[in-house]
Amino acid sequence: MEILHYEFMRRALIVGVLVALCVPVIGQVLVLKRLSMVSDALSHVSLAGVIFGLVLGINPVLMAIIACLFAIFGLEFLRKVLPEYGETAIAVVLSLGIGLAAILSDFNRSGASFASFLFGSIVAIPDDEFYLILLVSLAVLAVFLVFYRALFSVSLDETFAALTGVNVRLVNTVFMTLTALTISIAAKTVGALIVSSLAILPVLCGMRIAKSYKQTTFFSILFALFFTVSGLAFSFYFGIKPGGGIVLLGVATYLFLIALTSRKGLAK
Amino acid sequence: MKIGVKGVHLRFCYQNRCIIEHTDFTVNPGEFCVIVGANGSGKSTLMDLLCGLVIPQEGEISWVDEEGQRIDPKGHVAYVRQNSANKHKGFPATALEVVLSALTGKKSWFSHYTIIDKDRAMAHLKAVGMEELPHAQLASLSGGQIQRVFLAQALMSDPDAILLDEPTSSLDASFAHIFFRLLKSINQESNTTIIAITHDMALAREFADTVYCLEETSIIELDKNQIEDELSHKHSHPQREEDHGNPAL
Repeated sequence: MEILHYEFMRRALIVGVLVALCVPVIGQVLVLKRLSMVSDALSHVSLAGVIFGLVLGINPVLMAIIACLFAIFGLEFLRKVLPEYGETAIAVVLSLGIGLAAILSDFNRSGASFASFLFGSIVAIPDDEFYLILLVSLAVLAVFLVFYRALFSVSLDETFAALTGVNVRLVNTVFMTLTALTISIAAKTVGALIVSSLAILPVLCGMRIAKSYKQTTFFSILFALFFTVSGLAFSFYFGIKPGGGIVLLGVATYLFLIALTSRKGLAK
Repeated sequence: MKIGVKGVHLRFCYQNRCIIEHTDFTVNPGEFCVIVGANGSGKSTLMDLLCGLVIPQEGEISWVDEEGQRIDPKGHVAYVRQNSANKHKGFPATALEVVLSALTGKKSWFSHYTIIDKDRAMAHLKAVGMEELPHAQLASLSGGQIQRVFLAQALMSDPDAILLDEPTSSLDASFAHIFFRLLKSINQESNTTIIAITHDMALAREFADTVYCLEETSIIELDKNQIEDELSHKHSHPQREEDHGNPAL
């Protein structure tokens, strides 16, 4: 396959597959906790982190991770301070992220365009970022597997989980950390504007056809892999932005599945 | 182990109104207790206090065993929330997955559900009449069936007490009766303490050992006569409304 002859495409595929494994498993919990928009807020903050890293000459992915960690714990604090208007905390953090990114982009002298941050740069990842993404994504997957059952219980009902001995605070803290790590590595690769779609669309597609929670996780990962690898192939052969291709394929698949499953429902 | 709960000199107020003020409240180990009260009287807040989700501003709530020794409710108390059907309808899990999840706090991080766990989960599903649908997703179940699944989940945690916040609010009258009969059999067979909130005084009269009414910041224990009064008062309303609606009568 011609696509695999190029080092940058092989590297893009490795990163794409790792991101496609991490993002939907986090996305599934976000969707079920009714926190889908958190991924959007974090991706904007990670954008600010990336640009800040470039301005300071520090690894941008590392800076995105730090920014996202601050953001998600700040967001949780705001949600507790304003329980009746918890969702407004997401808007505040999103605004902060995009505001900082816009201002910092004026100081960016690295030569990278603002659009490359918005739509990702999966085919142009330097060595240090590549190994950091590799390390972080494998760590996220390992921790996710350990916490799989606890995340299920806490997503279903925090009160019941707490009463039956689950350490809800620990589970939520671990989940917030995993979310910050995942969104920050994904935002740099598939793009800040696109990462929340990759977190949500595969899960929505998975939920349309899965018959259980476990199957939902499995199908979400499958869909994310399909979108990512296909998006990269489209990008290589047709010269379109990989992030855009990944997301549009996700939307098209979701609409197709809605039509398919609705027809099945009518037939019944 | 049989457990009960004691609330002493409780006071809990929101910014603009008090739910409970200087009130005592006791549910004895192994008792079937029903809490009734008008909408907005604070029944769900009382449930939050019992779960430990909120802390009383004055007084204290303590869970105790038969000897009166304090115990940590974690691992001993299970909770079935209000409107489980509406809240969890879109959750993409099967009935069996929901029931098994009750073991999460008791399992080590790396262990898996065993065949024994699955057999136990199936037995609890059978106890609530859901043995035919262990692999059905919540989305495909009716409100009553979902409520049964969450009762099976509560039983799976092997609780000494079960708290239920309006468990029959989304069920029709006949199914609400079946559900309470199920709770009564659990209470009698395993001595599990039941504390249930309901609007239905008829259910309270038929099944509860103790009926508490939450009214004007107090928790009052109702005796049989008061329960009958409440029922006849409620039943007389439609007649009176009818009378008012037709001046010719």
